[in-house]
Amino acid sequence: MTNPILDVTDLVVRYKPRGLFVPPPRPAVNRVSLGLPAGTTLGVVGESGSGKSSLLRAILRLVPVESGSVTFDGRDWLALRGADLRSARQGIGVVAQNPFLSLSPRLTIAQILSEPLLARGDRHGSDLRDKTAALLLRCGLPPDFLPRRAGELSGGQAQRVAIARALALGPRLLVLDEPTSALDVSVQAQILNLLMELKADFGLSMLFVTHNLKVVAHIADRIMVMQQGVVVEAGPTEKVMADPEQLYTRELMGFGRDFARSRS
Amino acid sequence: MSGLVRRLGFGGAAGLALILIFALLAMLAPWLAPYPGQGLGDPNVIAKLKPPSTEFWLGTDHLGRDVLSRVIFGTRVSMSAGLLIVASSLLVGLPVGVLAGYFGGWVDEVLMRVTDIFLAFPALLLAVLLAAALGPGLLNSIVAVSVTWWPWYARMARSEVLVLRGQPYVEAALLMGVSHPRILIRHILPGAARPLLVQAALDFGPALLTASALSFLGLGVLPPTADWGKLVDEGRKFFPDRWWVSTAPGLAIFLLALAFSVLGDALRDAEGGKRDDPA
Repeated sequence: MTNPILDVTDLVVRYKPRGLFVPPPRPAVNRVSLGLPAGTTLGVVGESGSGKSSLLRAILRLVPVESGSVTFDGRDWLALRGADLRSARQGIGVVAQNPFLSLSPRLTIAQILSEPLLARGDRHGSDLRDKTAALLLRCGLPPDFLPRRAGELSGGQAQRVAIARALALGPRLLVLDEPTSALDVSVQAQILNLLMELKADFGLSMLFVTHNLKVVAHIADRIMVMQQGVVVEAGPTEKVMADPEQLYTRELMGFGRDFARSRS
Repeated sequence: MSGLVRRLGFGGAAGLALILIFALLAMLAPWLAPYPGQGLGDPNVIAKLKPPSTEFWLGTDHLGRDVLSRVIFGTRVSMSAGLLIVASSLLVGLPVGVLAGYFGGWVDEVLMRVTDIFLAFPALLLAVLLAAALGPGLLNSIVAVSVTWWPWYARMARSEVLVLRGQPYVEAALLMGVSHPRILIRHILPGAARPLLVQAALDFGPALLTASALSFLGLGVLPPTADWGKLVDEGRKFFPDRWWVSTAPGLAIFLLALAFSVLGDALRDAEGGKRDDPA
């Protein structure tokens, strides 16, 4: 537990200025540090524009980093290039906000789930079919969903497929970008419960990004609150929820449904 | 069949039917043409420039050849010319545009600046220049038109790919460690190819017209072979007194170009109704 699976130090992300004579914008992510011990969940919370998505995209190597360092699983994550990066990325599972956009409309669920396995080098055949069916079943959907396409599923079903795909390669870290925000409230709770089961079963570490403090309080061990690119508050979930230091954090609590209370 | 009519609409289905009729004419020319030998160019000087009659339905030309047979055999040349122009342009334009759009950066700069050079010249002028430089002949005129044609497909493919590349499912594939060639084949090409194929159907008519124009100018097929453009050109000297020599091939060009245009429009409408993004 002492070795964090993900360690971010003084990360700065700044987008390019929009014109030659425009002053460079202030960093989208400004010297953010975080450590994620293996097997725990960190919730990153903030309003839109707070830099939480930029932080996430920088950690996933989708936007360039200006300065700082990222260590994943003991490796210098930002130094990886080409084929190394491609194979290393298979150690991180990603679930995006809208499953209808993150699942190809042209492919069947079976094809979608086999994509990461084929990328790793698995071969077509009954073995691959069994694996995809098992993944789907673990995420709460029977195998008769395999020949369907994402467009035929409900939002919750589609997000289960997206989670199954993220787990296909047995990642050590699961990165979730607003995974419940596109879903209605009753489905949100089901997805959160599924994630907690999976976390316990596979010993997953999770980085959970959302604007909804109540959703994340339900699932995270620690919470980090971001505003305008900087971390304004961080601590164990119980402490942040019971006694927030910042007025901003209190305001974030105003969003969404209170899962903790609705369960009792 | 009725399902096809519903999806394409009456106009689209009629266009498709007309194209199939022309295709059938081209394939079965030796059996359908009343005078196959004359269709291929054998002169028949005893019946020069006869008006339409029961013997020669569309009259005869200056060498006494049956115009109907000439037009039917011309269908083979004109249709294959249009098809080859569009196909070879797609074959070059699609990969260029897909690679430029997908990889961006200097790959994009190099490929699109080359594309711009070709687009900088007026298309027909460049085609005439190239055809003249390569010398007359069917294949040369097809090459000449294709050279002016592919940049449009490259541009279109690039813009389609730019949209697709930003789709979360493409990003998701990248994050799963899927390789670039796999992403291109699995996610990018199928999405980019469909609108381009619709455009290709729409372009068949103009391709046919351009090829005909080159033939009309004497830069296309060599006698005695004749495509429709060449036939119009041959009849030009006797127009309007012996109007039938030019009219039949001219009408054929008009009808086939119209048929492809109508079909292309119908395909585009059918395609437009179901874009990939559900938003």
